[in-house]
Amino acid sequence: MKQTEGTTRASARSGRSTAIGLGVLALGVSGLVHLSGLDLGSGASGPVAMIEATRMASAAAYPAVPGLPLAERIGVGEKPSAPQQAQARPDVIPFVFCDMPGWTARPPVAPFRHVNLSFDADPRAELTVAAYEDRGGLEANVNRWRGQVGAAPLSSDQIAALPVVQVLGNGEATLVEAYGPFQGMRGGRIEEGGVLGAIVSNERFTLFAKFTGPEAVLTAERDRFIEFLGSLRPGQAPSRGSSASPSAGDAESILTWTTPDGWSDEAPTSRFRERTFRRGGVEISLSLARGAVKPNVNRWAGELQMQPLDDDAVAALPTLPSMGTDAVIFEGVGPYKGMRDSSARADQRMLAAIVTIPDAGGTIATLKAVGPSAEVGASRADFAALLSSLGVRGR
Amino acid sequence: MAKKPTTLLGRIYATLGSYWLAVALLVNLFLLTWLGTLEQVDKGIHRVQEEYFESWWVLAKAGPVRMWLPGGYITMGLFTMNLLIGGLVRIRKTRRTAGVIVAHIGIALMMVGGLIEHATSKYGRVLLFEGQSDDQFEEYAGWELVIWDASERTGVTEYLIPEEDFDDLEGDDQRRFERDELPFDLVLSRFFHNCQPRRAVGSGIPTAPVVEDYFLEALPREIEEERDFRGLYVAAVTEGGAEVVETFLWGRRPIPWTVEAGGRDWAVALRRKVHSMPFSLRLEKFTKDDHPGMTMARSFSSDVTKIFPDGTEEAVHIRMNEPLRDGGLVVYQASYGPPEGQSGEPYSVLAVSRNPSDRMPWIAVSVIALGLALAMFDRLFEFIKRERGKRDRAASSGSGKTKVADAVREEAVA
Amino acid sequence: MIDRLIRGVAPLVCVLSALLLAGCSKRPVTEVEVEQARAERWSDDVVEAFAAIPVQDRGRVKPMGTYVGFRMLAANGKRKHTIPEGTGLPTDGERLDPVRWALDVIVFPEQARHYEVFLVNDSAVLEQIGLSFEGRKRRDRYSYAQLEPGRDELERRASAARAKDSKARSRIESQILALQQALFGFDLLRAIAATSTISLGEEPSGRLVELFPEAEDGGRVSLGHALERWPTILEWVQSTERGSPEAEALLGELAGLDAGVSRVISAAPFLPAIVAPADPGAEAWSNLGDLALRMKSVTGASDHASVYDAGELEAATVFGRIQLSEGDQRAAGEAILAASESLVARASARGDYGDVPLEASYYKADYFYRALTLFLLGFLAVVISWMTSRFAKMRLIGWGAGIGGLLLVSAGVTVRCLLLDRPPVATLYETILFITAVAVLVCFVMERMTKHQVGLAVGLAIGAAGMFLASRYELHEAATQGDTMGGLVAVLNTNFWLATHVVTVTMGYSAGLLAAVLGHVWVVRRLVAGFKARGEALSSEQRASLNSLGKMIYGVICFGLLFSVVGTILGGVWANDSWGRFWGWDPKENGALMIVLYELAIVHARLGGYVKHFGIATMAVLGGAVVAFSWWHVNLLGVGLHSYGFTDGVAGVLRSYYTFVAVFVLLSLVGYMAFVRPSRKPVVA
Repeated sequence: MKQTEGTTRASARSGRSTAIGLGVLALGVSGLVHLSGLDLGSGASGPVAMIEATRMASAAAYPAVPGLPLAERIGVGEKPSAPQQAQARPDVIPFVFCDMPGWTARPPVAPFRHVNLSFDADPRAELTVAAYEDRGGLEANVNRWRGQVGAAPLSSDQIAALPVVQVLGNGEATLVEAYGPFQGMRGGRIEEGGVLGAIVSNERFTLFAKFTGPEAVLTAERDRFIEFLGSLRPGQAPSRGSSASPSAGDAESILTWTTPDGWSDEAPTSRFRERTFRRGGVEISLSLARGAVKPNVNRWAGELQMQPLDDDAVAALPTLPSMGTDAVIFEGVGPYKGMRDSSARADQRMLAAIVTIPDAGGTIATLKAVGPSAEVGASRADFAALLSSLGVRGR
Repeated sequence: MAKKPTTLLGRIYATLGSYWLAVALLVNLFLLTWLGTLEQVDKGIHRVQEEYFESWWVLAKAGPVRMWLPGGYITMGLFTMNLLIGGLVRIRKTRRTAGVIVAHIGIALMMVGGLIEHATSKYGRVLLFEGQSDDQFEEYAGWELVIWDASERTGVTEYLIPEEDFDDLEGDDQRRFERDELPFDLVLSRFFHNCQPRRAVGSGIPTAPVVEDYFLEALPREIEEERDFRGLYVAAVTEGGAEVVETFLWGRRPIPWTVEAGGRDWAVALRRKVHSMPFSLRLEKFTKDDHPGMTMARSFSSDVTKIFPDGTEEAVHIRMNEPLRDGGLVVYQASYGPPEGQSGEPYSVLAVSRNPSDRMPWIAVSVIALGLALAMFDRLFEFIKRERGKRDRAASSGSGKTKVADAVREEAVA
Repeated sequence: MIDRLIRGVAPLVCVLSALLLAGCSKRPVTEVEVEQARAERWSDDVVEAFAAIPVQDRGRVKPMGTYVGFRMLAANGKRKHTIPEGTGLPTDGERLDPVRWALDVIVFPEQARHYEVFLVNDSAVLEQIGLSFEGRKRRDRYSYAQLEPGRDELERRASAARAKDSKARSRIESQILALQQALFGFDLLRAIAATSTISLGEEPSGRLVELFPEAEDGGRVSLGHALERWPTILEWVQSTERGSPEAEALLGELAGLDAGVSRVISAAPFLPAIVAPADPGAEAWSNLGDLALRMKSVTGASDHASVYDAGELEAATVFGRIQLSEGDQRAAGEAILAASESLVARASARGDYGDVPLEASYYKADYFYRALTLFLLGFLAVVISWMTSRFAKMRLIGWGAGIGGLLLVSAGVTVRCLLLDRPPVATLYETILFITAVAVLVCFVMERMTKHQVGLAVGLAIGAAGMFLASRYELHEAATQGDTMGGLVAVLNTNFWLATHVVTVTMGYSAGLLAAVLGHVWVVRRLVAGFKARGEALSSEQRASLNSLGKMIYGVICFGLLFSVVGTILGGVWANDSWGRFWGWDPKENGALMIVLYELAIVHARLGGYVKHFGIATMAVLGGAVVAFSWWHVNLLGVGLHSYGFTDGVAGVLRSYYTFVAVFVLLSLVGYMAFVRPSRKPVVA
């Protein structure tokens, strides 16, 4: 084979063209590198650097809690150096419910799933209860479920006309019932399937109870499902210790408190809620938020269908000592409708307090008792005791 | 190489454009690819990519032997020059070499595309439950330190320090970061590629400063880069150095640390790099279609609504092999959950990429194919002509398959 | 020279093949006692009807013939079994194909238990489960009956092995698992029919007998009938007061039925689905277990019709008659014909049956095995033709067999495309078929153009090797997938990319392998020539021949380069479209890139004059290892192929191949120094 190379040609020419060639090449490469903004180095060096990059975010990435102790910030609590535990902060509200013969309870598989039952005779049938902060509202959720079995969406009027069932003892839940080919996430497609579900919102969470599976099982077990819904109650958090311990709050919260005798003390259900206390029909919720007194008071007034208070009226509200400062007390009676309640409950009393936590960057704590008028009235002393027991962890 | 160039410059130029260098670089790249692939078993793709290809030199592992090889930067840099000088400038330009030159141009285009991609592209993902929406995507591997005014809830201005600016801080090294808008400086030190917090009590001698009873402890890198969680010690210096507060940040829990300065609270967090999208995406419905009677997905797709800042909405269907392209971004159906055999609320994982040279491979492959085809056909016609010429003679040697060979060889023969 | 070499080798090849053919030695046959033995051969129409029953399994509808074929392959390592002479069965000496075997398992299980169709690769497996047999080889086949005493121990050890990570399992553990699977497969085949009937109980009550007038003295009824009449039984239950003595009695009365139905339901997760739904919108078929399971949601006559669609239970009833025939071959045959007809009709009604007959014919035609035979035959003929010019005509046989084999392979690949409705290459198994076909075709075309006498022989050898590899890999698929036409993962659900990227890249592999084979031939010829010439120059005839072959190798490499480059980049473009990144340094991508880089290095080394024919040929030989790495090895790196039974060896085979290549290249270099270089003259080099 003849062997030749371009070299002959290149050397035949003068060295000048070589230099030009190299020059052009160097220029081209450096231009390219510059054009592409290629930075082969490792970023800033030396002892001082400028913060150059900024970004406009539509919302804050994470809620900031000034003064949060490091252990809580990194999520290790009392259990050191265990990343798994650090991450798994289950938002589980345990529920209790009636006996379900023929059904087997399975461990919850998703953070929001609290009850997960499968039907023994046909494991494709599944009953789940999930509770979390609402996403998208009743209408979207109803139509999402209907969509899962290929049913047409309903208008808001039609949704308002859907039947209601008892859930959690008092709340009236919208009952969704639709049949069609159901595509289960776990099993295959169920041709004659369906979904039977109930959605109810309260101010703490929206509860989704969903029964899916073959249509035949759904119709056969429909009454049992309704019975199940009626029997469903938030249970005691098993791992949190008993409410009797005056241990002052929960390791997850930056607040400390002493639970009054006779009240249940339940784990938080959302990241805005620190604690829920319950006795009989009265529920006291403890929350952390940011904001001023007036908007909160007026939100409460709205929930009781009262007229908003003006500045003077707010200033005239009574106070009680708490956390080394004064808590503003608001009390009202009326038909109560929480943010996520679909309809109002009559003759309810609200007793609420706002305290601006000192040296906490404007963070406020709210304590709110709601329930039948007389019962809340009888809880006044416990409410005051709870309020005065509030403190900030580590202070 | 009958005549050697005489000047030094000329010799360098000749060497840069030589076949010798081309072969050496190809063999080196081959070795990098081969040994890198084998080492992925122990080190994972991301780390091998860093060590073998995004490097100047690499200590490659070949079975029991370790050897130094030029890394990706050197190889690709020389390769580019070799291609330009040898394959485009010095190559003889005739009708016969036209195809080869075109193919070389195609390869150069691809390398340019690769360079642009390497320098400017961003990859990440958005995880959406049905009904949920988001207007930003999170990178898989890169991290950043972010600072913002803790009282802002919407329209938050974030000040960012990319990981590259502090990932060289080992031991007592520290670097001070300033910005006029911020009433404090941050001093960063002790960067950890992967780490976990550990309680000082009962852990023997702490390997890093203890803050509120805890310190960060280095962990070996995971094979999957995504499972590495960064850590960093950070101190805020306020009021002209009068006050210094120190703590550490851990990427697994990006809940911000707050610093009070200038009468306000500032949040500081270490998180995966986040990029804004020019629109927000809301997942309406995720659909997974299984092979009948099995749990193996035949296809999966997401019905998504694209919401622009002005409020206009547009319904989009994203599925495997059919991404959404808009605003310089490409959004792919990447994955879904919950995993097979588990129940739970369905969610969809959308991969997002911002790559300006997205279409370059298409152009390059077309150019290369065109070039090679040109070379082939040119030789084919010549072959046929020649065969016709010597039809009478017995053409028993030579093969029909040598036309490509000849075409390529012409480059040298000429 | 070359003729002399060939004359030396040819007799050796002949002797070797003769030895291979004679390799089947006699083995001891024990007489078996079977109460109900099959008296005569299954008639062809019954066999065909059974094979044509559509089954939905692993995500697609396939003929029963395919389903049982893979069961047999997984157990036996081949798709046939010959009943040895001397067993005392009326059908001694009969050759059974998978369908006939399955029919025996279903209708004459007592007889089928004695078929020695369970391949044990290493007798150590038997020792582990406490069995030992006299006069058997280390790798041998055993019957279900022979293995049964060790079954408990086998199950125990299998579940221990299953608990381990597949990479941590020893060879014996993998084989224990494979054997356990094979025996389970036998049970499963039996269950297909056995679950179609249930017993009414020890002494069925009057009203039960009245309800099931079909039940004869055995007291067995078809499952279909039982489910059909379930509402009546429900009425009995509902009319009985809970906890009363009557309820107690009813429980006893229905115990048999209840146990039967429970047994059927428990088999639901394993049985193949044979009953197509009437609803055209539904995709999932039911097996008998599913049908029984659905009965649980029936509450009475009113909703019975909504649980079962029209004719579903009737189809089950008809199918049940096969089992009810109880060893009456004629009755069983008729029942099979009827069952096949009714099940086919259900599938046809919804358009699911379309491809089933074609697939049945695909397995009947056995394209690839026949192609293997033809290629071997052709190769033998060509080798004989080399021995002496008197046999030159044998080349024609070589050509005929080669073209016949190529046509068979192409036909097989085409039928697969038609069946699966996708381009020819999507799975590893299909790459073997396609790569072989392309390499053989290129060889034949080359031979036609150059008349080298090398192309034909190499083509035939590659064809035979490829088909052999395919049959080995099919065994692996049988053990792990139970099919070679399984469903694809979502990302492969695109005919455009399968047709472009996968096909081009595979053609690149094909060319790389072909160049490697030709490289071996060139190096051996050159070295032998150099050895003979003892330092003298080669004759011009030799030089011309070697030159021309050398050019051919280079041409094949360039051909491979074209396809590898385009295919690899197209792969990147696909990845860019599917996952949003052009290149991810994924092992499979890297493998393709390695081929490209390697071939580019060869091309540039030649252009630079650093290598000539000898160098190119040697590099091509090494290139074979590069292709093997990217074709097979990268798949072993990550998730790892399951090392069940027959493919213990993939990694081992690769290692031996690499060693062979290394030794070959080393020897060629030594040879080069000894016989080629000193001459200084050869124009060839």
